[in-house]
Amino acid sequence: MTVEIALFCVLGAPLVQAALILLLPKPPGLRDLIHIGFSLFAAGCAIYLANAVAHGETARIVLARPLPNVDLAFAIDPLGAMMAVVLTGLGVLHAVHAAGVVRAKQEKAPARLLAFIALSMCGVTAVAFSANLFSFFVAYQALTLAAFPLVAHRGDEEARPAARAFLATLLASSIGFFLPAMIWTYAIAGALDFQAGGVLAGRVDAFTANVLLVLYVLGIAMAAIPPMHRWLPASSNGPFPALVAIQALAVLPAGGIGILKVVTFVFGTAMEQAVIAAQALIVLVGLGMIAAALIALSKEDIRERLAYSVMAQSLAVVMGALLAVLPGEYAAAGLFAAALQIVALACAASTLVMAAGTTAAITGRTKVSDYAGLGRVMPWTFAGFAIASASMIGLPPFAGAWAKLWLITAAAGSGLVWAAGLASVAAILTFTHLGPLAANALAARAPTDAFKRPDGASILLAAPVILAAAATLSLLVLANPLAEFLSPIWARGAP
Amino acid sequence: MSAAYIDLARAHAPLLLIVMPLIGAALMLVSGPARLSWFVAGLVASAGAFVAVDFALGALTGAQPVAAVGVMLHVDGIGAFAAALLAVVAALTIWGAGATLKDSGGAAAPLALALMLCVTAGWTGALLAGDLGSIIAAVETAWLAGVGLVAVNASRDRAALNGALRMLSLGGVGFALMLLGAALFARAAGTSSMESLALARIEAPGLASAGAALMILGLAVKAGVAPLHAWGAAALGRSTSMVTFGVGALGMLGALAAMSRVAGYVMAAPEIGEGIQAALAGLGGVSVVVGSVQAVGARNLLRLTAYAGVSQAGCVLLSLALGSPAGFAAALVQLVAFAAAALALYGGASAGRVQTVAMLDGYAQRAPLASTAITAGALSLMGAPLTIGFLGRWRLVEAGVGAGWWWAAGLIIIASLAGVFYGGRLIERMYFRRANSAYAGEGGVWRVALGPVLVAAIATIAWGLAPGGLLRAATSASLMLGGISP
Amino acid sequence: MITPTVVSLEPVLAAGAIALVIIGALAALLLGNAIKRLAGLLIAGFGAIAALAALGASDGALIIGVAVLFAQTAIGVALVVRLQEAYGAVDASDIDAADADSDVQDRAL
Repeated sequence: MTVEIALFCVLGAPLVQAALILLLPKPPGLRDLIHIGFSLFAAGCAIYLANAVAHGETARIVLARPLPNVDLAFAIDPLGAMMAVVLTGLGVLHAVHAAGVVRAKQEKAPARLLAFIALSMCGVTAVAFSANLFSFFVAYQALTLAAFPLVAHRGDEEARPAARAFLATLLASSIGFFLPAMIWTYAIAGALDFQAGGVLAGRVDAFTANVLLVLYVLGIAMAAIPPMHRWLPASSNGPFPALVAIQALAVLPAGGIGILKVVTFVFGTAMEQAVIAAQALIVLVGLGMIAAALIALSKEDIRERLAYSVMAQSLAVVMGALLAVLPGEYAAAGLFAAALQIVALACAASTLVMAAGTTAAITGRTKVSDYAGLGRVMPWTFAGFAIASASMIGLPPFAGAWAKLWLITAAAGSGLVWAAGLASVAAILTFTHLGPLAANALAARAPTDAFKRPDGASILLAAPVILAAAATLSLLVLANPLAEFLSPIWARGAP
Repeated sequence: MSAAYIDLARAHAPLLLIVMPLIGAALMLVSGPARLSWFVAGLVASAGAFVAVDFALGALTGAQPVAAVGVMLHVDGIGAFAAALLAVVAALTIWGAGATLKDSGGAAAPLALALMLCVTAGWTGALLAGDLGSIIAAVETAWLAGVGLVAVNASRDRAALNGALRMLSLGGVGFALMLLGAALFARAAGTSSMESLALARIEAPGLASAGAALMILGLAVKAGVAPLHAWGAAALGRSTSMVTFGVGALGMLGALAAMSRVAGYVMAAPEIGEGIQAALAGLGGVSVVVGSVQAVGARNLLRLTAYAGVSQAGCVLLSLALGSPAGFAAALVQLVAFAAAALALYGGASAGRVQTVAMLDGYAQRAPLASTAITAGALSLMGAPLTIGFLGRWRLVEAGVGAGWWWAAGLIIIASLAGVFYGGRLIERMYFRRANSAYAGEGGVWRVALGPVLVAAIATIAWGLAPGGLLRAATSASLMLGGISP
Repeated sequence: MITPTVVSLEPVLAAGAIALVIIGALAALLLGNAIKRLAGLLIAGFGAIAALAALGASDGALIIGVAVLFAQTAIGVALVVRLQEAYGAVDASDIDAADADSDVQDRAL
């Protein structure tokens, strides 16, 4: 019973948090305290749930029954629990950082910004714990709507069209592709529940499986699969706290989680039927990774560069999940690579965007060419930046390395050497757009007039960056336990 | 003693449902001041809603036997369900119209209220009438009352006259088609009474098909189904809330319900079912697409709502076209969805006297409750999950896919996508734009009006979350197509 | 003895009536002048009533048809008078143009 309550709390706490923040926007101290306190509480609940899952407990809550045999239900499973722990854990750091940024930059309507960040976190947690396709769909739409005000936050001539593009891409793709796929699945299986081994397993022919896979993958536009990635660069105009939520902690990871859930729980062994679509999508995703990494190189604004950079990383998640089409142990390896990649992406991307946010807040610089030498005056922030860059590139021993390693092993081991090649090229390109930037920031001569504000970075701005960077090291010790923890997902249904 | 009267009233509930609004309309002409008339009309409509719901519950659960209600009336599942819905919507619209009672001049208010009650009586009559001729008479009563209601508005804005003329000419053509269709159908079936129609053997299928198609076409004109909806935008675009409520919500709902009822009878005959199915499906498909496209392009909120209603009406037609009990049940759920969304949107707009979409800028700050209602209505029109709009469409898709109608599922997806664009635009304007100073002073209507609108908004969400009762009612109504035996 | 062949007039009458309905409906939908539209409605209505009579409908149905038609005409004539007063025109194109003008003014507000 307590597990159910914890599940209820992890989903409900951000709602209360948002309401309280909106009701008590002043004094700022109280507002930030609520924001950080509730984030801590949610993270605590998530850890409790992960512990419960590790002990083999189950929990399921049904909030409504909008259709005769479809519930709006949330349940705990290893994948969801792990994602919730990582995202809400980083969410605490983000909450601290956001409190620092809105103070330092005197962001307008800070309460609204923080409230919608909380709602977005609620959305991604709901995505992670969704018990069936319908609940996933609802949580996905809710997350889209919660993130929309973050993109539109500044409300100026630049933000409004960006926000509209964000909303249009995400909603249109989910209604145009995901919803038909969901209906089709319902027509075939008569149910929408996520189950290990796959709802569709043994129920679909090759044609249906191929079409469904394409519909699902394109329908989950949050994973930034081209050509459905328009929302991601469009969102890069938002304030930094919003960017962390969108690119690192809520929207982008939700896409990865969605793809992973669909491949494992909806398709399962039916992936074998969808070979053609999966391979075509792997090509698309691989080329997308390379293109995104190249475009990132051409971007001068740090926010745009990071947007394309995280897009390339998110596509690696999709590639890993799609490798489940391969027979044997490599399927599980691909899925595990995808799961690790989501964790690595969340850690590294949140570090990078927070570091960029700190830099912008206290030096006012957002151009990459202006970053030279800043590491000398902001050592902690840029140490974090460098570590996270290394993780994104895939340098051992940081988190990204393990994910890449599993991904390339899975691809190469099962004969898709070209897929491994695409992933490797993307990693090299990631090096070219992040490596020199980080090195230059640390090694070049320090600028004389770096600080806009005389007091430099406050602890609120620097500490989260370095702690999140430290988290990228965690997989060094956690990779094996995580594999153990996640194994129930695909053990039963592995192709 | 009083128990005996209640039983008597219950036994004659169908008759009461038609007569009560008419008596109310007569009272309007002697009740003097606008506010008093409004209060009396509201009471009459509420009493009607109470009787109708009680009657429908009894009839649909089989608890209350239905008396042989005389030669003029015949009760069936769709009629009972839709009459209750119509009566509730009528009560909500009349209470909701109170805020803008004097918009077209205080003296005109009692007349407008009387006409609204006549619209209610007319469409209720069409839902309970016992033969085709009476249905046509009832439909015309409602329709001409609607024309009058639009025209009453002319003292405020002459464009109302243009709308009324369009309604009159299109509706008149619809009347001629219905009359002709009824003549052909009755000739082919050998009877025009609803009671025997359900069991009639069709002697001349060609004649009967033509007749049925003409009747449905005539009703489709009045329901504003595209491409026969040219009157809608003209009549509603610049009108007061009394008109948008009475014609846009109540009138279109009544026409759709009456069409569902007629379709239920004519499609029961296997000889002509297929032809009618194709006609309904074609009309429904066109309506979904045309309504969606026009709603996306609309700049006037009232017109946008009317076009979105056209699209929703198309969904009703598609459900009817399936011809199965599942299809009819889906159609009834969609009727409820239509009514709730129309009430929420028209009501939310009337609370701030909003006409153009641009006037919604910053509306959430000026009128938070009205904005909430509009948001709920827009979400339902989009078919967002956990609203009744989603439920209706899901039921349609479920029934459609069951019958192999994948294209219908495709059309619904298109309607939902279009809904995201026009509905999303409304929500964005209300919550994410600053108020235009030109409209900032508008508003200040009587708050009472928001009550019914919020009821509709809550129903939109509540039935989306827990639709069990509604679905059961719709299903049992759809299983009583041929009529409820005494 | 030669018995005259019984020729049913019903199809002929019905066809004529339907033709009237079609002509009237087209007139009501396509003509611009409001008075001509009303005339079209009357023709269509009478066509439908004639069809009822030809197909052997009950007296009740005929009475309903006539009554509705009367009401329609009465309201229509009243509308035409009010249109002439308000717009100074009874032609649909003129009236629509005037309405479009005021729509544009609204939008410019």
